[in-house]
Amino acid sequence: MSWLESAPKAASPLEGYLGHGPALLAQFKQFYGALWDERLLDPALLEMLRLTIAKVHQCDAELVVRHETSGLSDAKRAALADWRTSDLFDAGERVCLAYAERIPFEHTAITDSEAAAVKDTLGEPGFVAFSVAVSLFDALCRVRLVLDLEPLPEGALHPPASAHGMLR
Amino acid sequence: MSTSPRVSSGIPGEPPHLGSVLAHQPVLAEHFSKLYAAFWDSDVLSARLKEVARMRNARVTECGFCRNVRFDKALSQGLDEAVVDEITEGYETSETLSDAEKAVLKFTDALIYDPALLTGDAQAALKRHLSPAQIAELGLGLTLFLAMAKALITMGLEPEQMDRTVLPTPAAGKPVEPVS
Repeated sequence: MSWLESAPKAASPLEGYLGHGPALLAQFKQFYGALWDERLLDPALLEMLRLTIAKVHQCDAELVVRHETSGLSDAKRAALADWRTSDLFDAGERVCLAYAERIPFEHTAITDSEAAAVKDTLGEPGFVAFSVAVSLFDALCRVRLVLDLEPLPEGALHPPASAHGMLR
Repeated sequence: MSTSPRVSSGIPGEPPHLGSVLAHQPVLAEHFSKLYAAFWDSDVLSARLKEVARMRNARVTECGFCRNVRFDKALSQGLDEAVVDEITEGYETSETLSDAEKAVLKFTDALIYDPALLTGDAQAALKRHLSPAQIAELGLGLTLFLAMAKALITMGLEPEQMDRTVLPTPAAGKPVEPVS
């Protein structure tokens, strides 16, 4: 339970916080939602990046969110903690996940070669979208943690974090 | 930390900076530009308090670019260098910073560094000085400051050297400035 009261009629704990400023919340959803709606990166990769960063933060409120249209299979979701060794993950995904794990607490230590490997995998526009996405995922975990936002019920599938949906 | 750009400019003739690099993703750039302008345009939370939080984020994330930029709207609200100089370790005992600014800085540290720093007393202080709408605006701003500073740093867009630079505050209809 958050230490800050929720905005009235909020659709989720995160919207209960940011919804105290409804106009800015709507604009934020356009920005964050573009990552998913515009398919700037493969949504399944985005989902893996989001969950990997949430795991680094041990952020239960983020970890229980499952975006139903991300395309991430249940098998890969279940194996995500073992991405280094599981056959389900290809070399490009491993490069991206290794980089994402460093964003929360080691962003200044990321090397040119690590960045080049992600850029080689995703292309230059993809690397730009990736850089914004992983940094936003990190920041949103931190928001959930500092506000003590409660996790949603576990196991439910949710619409994508979309400009047209809601922030779960 | 690299000061060599890891990505090229998406705008012909311009060097790589946050705005020109985001041009590789024009939809993302457009939504960020609109959101950032709306955030700074809103007066629910004063520009001075927003800038206090942004300066703290710049120091903690080691974003030299962010640290050397000043927005004119905050300057017009009295955020001079004597105040900025106090946004460092030990700010809790500053005689220059107001209690509201110290509460904002504690929330900032908790969000961008360690949530355990926001003790019950710190939560109470924040709620004493800021309304829920102001705390929401602060949190949204910090989300953007932190995320874009990390994106800037990891894309190698940190300058080797930079003088202090006063820029117009982001506003609707203007392209993304090379700042976060």
